Amino acid sequence: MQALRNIWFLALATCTEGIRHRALWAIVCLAALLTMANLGVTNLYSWDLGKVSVEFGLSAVAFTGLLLVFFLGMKILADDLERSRIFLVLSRPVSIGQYLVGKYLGLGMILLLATIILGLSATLSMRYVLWKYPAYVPPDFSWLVYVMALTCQWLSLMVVLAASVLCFSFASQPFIALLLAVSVYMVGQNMELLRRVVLENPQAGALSGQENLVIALSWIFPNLSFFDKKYAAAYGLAFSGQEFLLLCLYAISYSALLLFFSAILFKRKELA
Amino acid sequence: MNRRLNATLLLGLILSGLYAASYSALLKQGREFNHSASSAGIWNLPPGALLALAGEFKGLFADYLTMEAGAQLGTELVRKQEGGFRVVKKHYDWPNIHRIFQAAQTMDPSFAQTFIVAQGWLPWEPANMVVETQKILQTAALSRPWDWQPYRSMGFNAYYFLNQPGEAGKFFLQAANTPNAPQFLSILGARLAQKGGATKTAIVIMKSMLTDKNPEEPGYVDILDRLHALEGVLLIEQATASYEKKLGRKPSSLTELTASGILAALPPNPYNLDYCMDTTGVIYFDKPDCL
Repeated sequence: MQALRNIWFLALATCTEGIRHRALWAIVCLAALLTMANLGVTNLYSWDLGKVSVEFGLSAVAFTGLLLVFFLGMKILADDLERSRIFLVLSRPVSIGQYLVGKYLGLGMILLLATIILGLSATLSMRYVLWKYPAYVPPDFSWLVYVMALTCQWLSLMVVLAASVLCFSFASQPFIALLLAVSVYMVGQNMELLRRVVLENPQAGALSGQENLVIALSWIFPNLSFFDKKYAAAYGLAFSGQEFLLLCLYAISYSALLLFFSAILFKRKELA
Repeated sequence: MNRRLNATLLLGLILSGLYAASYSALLKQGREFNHSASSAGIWNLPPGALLALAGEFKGLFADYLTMEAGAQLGTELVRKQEGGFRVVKKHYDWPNIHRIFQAAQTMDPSFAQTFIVAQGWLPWEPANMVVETQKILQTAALSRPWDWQPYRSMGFNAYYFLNQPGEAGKFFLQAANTPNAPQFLSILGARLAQKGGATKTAIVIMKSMLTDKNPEEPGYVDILDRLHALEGVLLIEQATASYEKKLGRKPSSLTELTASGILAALPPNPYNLDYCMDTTGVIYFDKPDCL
């Protein structure tokens, strides 16, 4: 019980710290800008305006979320070490595991808030585009699929955040942790592509015959392309509830596993 | 002091001269190789590399690439010395423009802007890239099962550019099979497919279309009539083939065919016309003058 309370307080403190960075205000400004940009960009096209609008909105959420994870998230984690605030926390009855989970959840709350703000602004601009050009709305377009795609986007960011926490827990410098986290994100985005190229194509160049290695890598790195549902939302394609639940389960289990390893590695880290 | 000032000034002048020379040379080179610069871009990368580069922003990349294609296809205006603008006969790098469309489709195979703009430019003079356009349309048709337009365009290209009425008919019938397709596509498709010697295919596709339709639906009777007419054509074609197999030549007329006993009587034509056979042996159900 005390552990949960510690985690909750740490999460709240981290979230408050994130808001004090004025990151959310920057996001609100960005949301307003992107809403206007969405209207402008959509007008540049003659067909599939609904698709352009939905995809632009969801991509804006993804891009801003990544900026938050890599810059705000890593900065908050690094500040604790650089300003020695971590010792204040760890000198109390708070374990390293609780500290990392608390930080992770606090940053996750900031991401959730940002996703909601950006998602709402994107929704408003999309509603306007879809209302103005009803002929270009995909035949099976569904707001439910759009919300599910938005949720998947947030889950994907949570997985990237967990990977960032892991990198932070063993990297000697925050910059190295940032580079590693960006690399994990890029590998994760292309994991499915690599897996399919090697498994389905017998002439995969240097990777021919390395199927087992690629399969092993696909289990180690996050498969982020599974969370990318922009295409389904933009064209109103089917997205089953079962797949959505499996994605939620995958994100939770994978993130939990990364946080578990983070706690182990962080104990070995030279803090002083 | 003066010597140091002179040296500094001299160094400053040399550096400024170097900067001016290098920058102006770069600008000149940029003007000379302007068109080759526009043919270089991420669209030249292999599809796998493009997908890897785009990551989760494939849709945005596709949007950008279609805009790039549009910019390369657009008219070029040059300001005249006396004021106003004149249109320049632009050099279009068609293989490069085709690569942009391909790259855009790799990123987002369903995007309508890609196949519609490609259809508007690539199969026509001076690009003459009909086969390439058909491939782009085929990808779009497979990725957009709700849209009849890619197959409609494929049918048009097959008929107009490739002079393949049979293939065109098949494409029109496939277009007619998609939801909310206009009624005329099935009639047009059946007519072209039969003309191209693909009567059986036309019958099969029309039958499959009728199974999805409500008999009360407008146009149902038209499709049914066309189906019955095609079935009549097929019966005559099969009888003609038997005649040819038996006697070693085609019948000169349908009367000769029925007189031979291979076909007892001509089937009924729902259009209240006589079936007709032209000099090459093609059977028609809608040719009143039968020439």
